[in-house]
This record gives sequence, structure tokens and C-alpha cells, in this order.
Amino acid sequence: MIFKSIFNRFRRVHSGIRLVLMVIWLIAVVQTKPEHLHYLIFWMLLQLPHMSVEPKKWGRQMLMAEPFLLFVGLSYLFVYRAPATYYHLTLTEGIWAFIALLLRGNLAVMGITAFVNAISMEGLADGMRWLKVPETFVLIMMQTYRYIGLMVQKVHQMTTAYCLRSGGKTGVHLDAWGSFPGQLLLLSLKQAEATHEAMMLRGYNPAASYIGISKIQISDLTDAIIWLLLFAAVPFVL
Amino acid sequence: MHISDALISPAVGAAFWGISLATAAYAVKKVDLQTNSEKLPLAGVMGAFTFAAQMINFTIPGTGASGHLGGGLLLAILLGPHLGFLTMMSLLLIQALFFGDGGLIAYGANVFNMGILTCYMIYPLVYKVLKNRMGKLAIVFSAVVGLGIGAFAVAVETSLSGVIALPFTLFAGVMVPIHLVIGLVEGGITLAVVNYLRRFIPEKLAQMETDAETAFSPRKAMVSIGGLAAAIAGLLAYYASANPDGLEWSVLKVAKTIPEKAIHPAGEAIQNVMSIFSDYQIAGMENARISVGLAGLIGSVLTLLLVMLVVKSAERLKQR
Repeated sequence: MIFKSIFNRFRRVHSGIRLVLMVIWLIAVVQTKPEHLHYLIFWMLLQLPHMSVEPKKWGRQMLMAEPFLLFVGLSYLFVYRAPATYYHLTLTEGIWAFIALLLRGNLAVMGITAFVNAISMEGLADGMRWLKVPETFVLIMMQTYRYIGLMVQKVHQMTTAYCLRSGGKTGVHLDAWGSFPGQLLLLSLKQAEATHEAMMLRGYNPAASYIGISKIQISDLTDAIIWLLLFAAVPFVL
Repeated sequence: MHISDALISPAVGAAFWGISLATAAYAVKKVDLQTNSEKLPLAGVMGAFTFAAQMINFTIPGTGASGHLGGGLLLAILLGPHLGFLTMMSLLLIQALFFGDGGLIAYGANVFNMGILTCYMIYPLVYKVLKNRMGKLAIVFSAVVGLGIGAFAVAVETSLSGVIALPFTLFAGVMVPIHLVIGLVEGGITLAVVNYLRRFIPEKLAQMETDAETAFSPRKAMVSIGGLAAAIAGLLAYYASANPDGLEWSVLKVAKTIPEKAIHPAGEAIQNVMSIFSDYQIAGMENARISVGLAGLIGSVLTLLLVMLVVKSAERLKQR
């Protein structure tokens, strides 16, 4: 019950402040050296109030970063071969560097996911406007995000239509790789323009924020300061 | 090609954030969506389309690696460099925040590699210049060059961050060829999409391309890049690493020493006479910083003059 109330409290922190806290988290995490890996575990615990993401979704996002991390990390194993002892365990410097790289990389993704998950897209735009990001950029980002959903629907419709007409073949054949995306783009462009014109005729103003830039409350600042103090205390306490 | 946060240092990340933000400020000034609001849905759809295209990972046979399309060239061709860049920037932010693809500290570097290089270098200096000479192949060639340069930039950024244990030349030697192959695929798909649009909406595509082409001139791009080259050669070269390069590193590992005697005495004699900027310094100058900077600037200007001479000579030979 107490945990849930802490959970809900952190979720209500102003989105602009959450973005700033996220950057602080990232800078600290990516600079953590192998001899300070225990900081990462305690910093991960600090993320618990932000974590309302299903583990599967989390896992999928962390998998995006894995290939490049593994490619770089494996090179450490071959290059750094001198022994190094941390936590009463002697391994090569390369192995410790590899472990540190994987932990840092995955925690960085976890941090972004945890911070952003509780913010809606409109909330994120709100936070960006609070940070004085130009309106043009916020508008393009919002439109791109909205049309991702539209595009995914269109791809599903077109793929289904193609498969129904393809006589039992699975997937889009190589011959259609040129016309398929072209047709997808064409249909999406037409739909987007028609929707935009209809909205403009109804008085839609792209620059207007329909949520509005919310003001920072005292509670946002106190929650942020408490979080920062806990975060900064870890290296001193451990 | 998305770099995650663990592969870039905060200092390098901040530097590229600065470059990307400055470019974004310039692009925002150039794009006026309040008066041209009909471009907004276009940008949204193109951003979503590029997002979808980047989701398509394909395996490169024989390498064990996979890659994905960039999409920056298509955005620049259809939207123009400024709006194309802003669309790529917003798309990369969505990927970093909501899909865990590419980090936030590394966001500036990702924007540089996939946005700035494509929209402000490849599009005006490669595609627009070659479009009339090579026709449709200009798209494929530009995509290949764009991805190759982007991959090289990734190698530079991760090496500057001190994250990569491999020698720079070895790492770049692995990254660049793979991305050249990906560039071929991206070029093919970009060409197919543009051709398709040209077939079904020729007037609209012509209008989009005209708007895109008038937005940014190659001359401006050349001046900007020339200025950047002068800054790197004149100011940053002093801070270059003194460690052996990839070849010397490999030779040291195998032979335990770097041979000093040349194989051909004639070649050595010629080089001793010609190399007025030996070790990238001006002999006799006490101030090392000015010596390296001046040597870098003079070398850059000499390179530019030599390239111009070669190109002019080739053009004259072709005309005959």
C-alpha cells in the first residue's frame, strides 16, 4: 500500500522535471566504472517507483541495444587481458569491462523506459514546451508519432490484402518490394492530407496545446529533490 | 546505426548535442510551418514511413551482421533538407524515448550521423550534383556514400569516447563495408519509392522536389563544410592521439617494432625532400599548437586545390 502510494506520487511529477532527472540518471549510469558496479544496483532500485512497464516490453527494448553492445563488449575480452580484482573476484580487465558495459547499456535503456513510460505523448510535448523546445519541432514530432499508428494499420491492411491475392504465399514477394512501400506511402499521404484539411476546416490550430503547459508545483520540486538526494547519496553511503 | 548511451561518453555526446541543436535552430528558422501548415501532414507521414523502413532489419550474407535503412536521403528528396532534417530528428527522438533504439546522451550523435550528414551534406553535395549526370543512379550512389560516411562517423564517435578497445582503423574497417552494402539496399528502395511516386503523382512529386531543391544550395553546404574542415585541421588536430594508428598497432603486435628504414632508398630520398610538413608540423616552429594548426590548414588548402585541379582536368579531357 505504501509502495503503491510512492509509485503513484512519482508518476505525477511534472514531465519536464522527469526529463531533466532522466538526463542526470543517464550521465551517472554511463560513467560508472567496473569498481562501482554496486552503485548501479541501488540506482536501479530507485527506478522502481517509475516502473510500471511490463517486463516483456522492457526486455524487447533492451534487446534493441544488445547487438552493438555485444559487438563492442566482446572486443574487450580479447584486448584487455590483465587480471583485475573487484568484489573479491579476480577476472581479466576485459571481462569486468564487458560486464560493466552490458549493465550500463541495459540500465540506460531501463532508465529511459521507466521515466518516459508514465508520460503520455501530450505530456511529453508539454514537457518539451516547458523546456522551450521550438514549437515547429514539437509539432513534427507529434504528427510523426500519430502517423506511426496510422502507418502500422495501413501496412497490416495492405499485407492482408496482398496475402489474400497472392495464392497462398507468405510475406511480400521480392517483386513487390518497390511498389508495396510506394503504394503504402501514396495511400498514407492521401489520407493524411484529407484528414488535415478536414481538421483545419473545423478550426484546428496545429500550434495550440490542447493540454497546456502545466506549471511546476511545490510537490514536483520536493519529489525531485528527494529523488536526487537518494541518488547522490548512494556513492557516499556505499 | 543507432548508438546507445553506453557506447558514447557524456563529453562527446554533449558536443554532438550542441552541433545537432545548432543545426536544428537553423532548420527551424528555415521551415515556417505556421504559414505552410500543409507540409505538416506530409512531414508526419514521411516520418512514420521512415520509421517503418528503419524497422526492417535485414541480414547481410557472409558477415553475420544485420542492418537497417537510414531514410534520410528520401526525407531530404521529398521534404527538402530543412524539413527532412527536423523530421529525422523527431523520429530519432521517438525511437530513443519510446522504443529504446538509440540512447539519449547519444541522441546528438545519432542525429548527426543520420540527419545532418544526409540532409546537409549528401543531399546538396552528392545527390543534387550527380542528379543530372547520373540520373536515377544518383539516388543509389548517394545512399551508399551517405551510409558509408555515417558508419565512419559512428566509428569516430565511439573511438573519441574511448569506449572501443579495437584500433580505430580496424573498427571502421568492419563498420564501413557492411554499411556500404546496406546503402545499396537503401538506395534501391529509395529509388523504387521515388519512381513509384513519379509514376502516380508526377506533378505533386515535381512540386515537392522543386520546393526541396530551392531550400538549400550546394554552395552554402560547401562553405559550411569548408569552415568545418578548417576548424578541425586548424584547431582540433593538435589534440589528435599520439598512439599508433591501426597499421602501426598491428605491425607492433606482430613484429614488436615499427621499421624505420624504407624498402626503396629512392622513395625515401624523395619523401625526405618533399615532406615539408613532416609529422604534420612545420619544422623549426616552437609553438607546437600553431605549428600543427598551420600545417593542417595549409594541407587542407593544398588538398582542395589538388582535387579541383584533378576534376577540372578530367572535365576538359572528357570534353575533348
